[in-house]
Amino acid sequence: MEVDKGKGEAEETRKVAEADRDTVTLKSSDGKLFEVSKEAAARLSTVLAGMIAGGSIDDNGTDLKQIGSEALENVVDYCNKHANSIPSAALISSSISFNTAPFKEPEEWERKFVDRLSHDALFDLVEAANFLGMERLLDVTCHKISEMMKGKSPDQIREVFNIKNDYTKEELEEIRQELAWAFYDD
Amino acid sequence: MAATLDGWKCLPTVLLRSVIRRVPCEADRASVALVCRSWRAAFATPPGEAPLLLPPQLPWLLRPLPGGPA
Repeated sequence: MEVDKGKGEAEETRKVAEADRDTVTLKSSDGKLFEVSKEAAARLSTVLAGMIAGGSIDDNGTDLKQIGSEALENVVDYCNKHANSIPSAALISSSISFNTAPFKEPEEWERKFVDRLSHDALFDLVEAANFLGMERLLDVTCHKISEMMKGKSPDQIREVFNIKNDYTKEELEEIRQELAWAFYDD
Repeated sequence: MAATLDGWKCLPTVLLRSVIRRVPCEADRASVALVCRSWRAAFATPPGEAPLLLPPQLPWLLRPLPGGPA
């Protein structure tokens, strides 16, 4: 920084520097750049928290080669929505492994956030959340996917998720009998 | 994107298990196992984890009726 800068200009520089410190720039696999609140990124993603703490954040865009721009936009959107909200007790305690922690019900805005996604976008977002170690976002996305399964027959689930039945008729019957105890009436 | 290449059939097992744990009803879980081979494979219990299709999640009397609400 030059010492002979005008006061206004110096103020501007300071503001820019301050803004830089508050956000992190992330780069998707297809080269798009996204700004995310540093505080929220560190709070919501163990991977980003590690990169920020370890100084491996690139001001010109930290490469996240595994994440496409649509998924990264959703990740960043999710973080930034959290940035302005006071962390609830549920979020603070979410540092426990998501494999063992009791599930926290998604909040209303989180439900809406995932409800508007296409199935492809939801798939990419759950993978991105997993890659970035975002346990709360994993909670929310896995909850949404589980809602898409509940109360449906295997055929209906296949239809929802566009999956082909790769069992033979005999195998299907065998497994059905194995699991007969789980069905009320089949 | 992954979703359009492989589809939900190839959702990583760790994520699928995480999803299934949020499905409380045994009949629903059994339906998930019947979807395809790779989804059934997610029901194999890794060491240190609770099985997905054994613990009674709901009392018998609370099981869903066929054709009733989910």
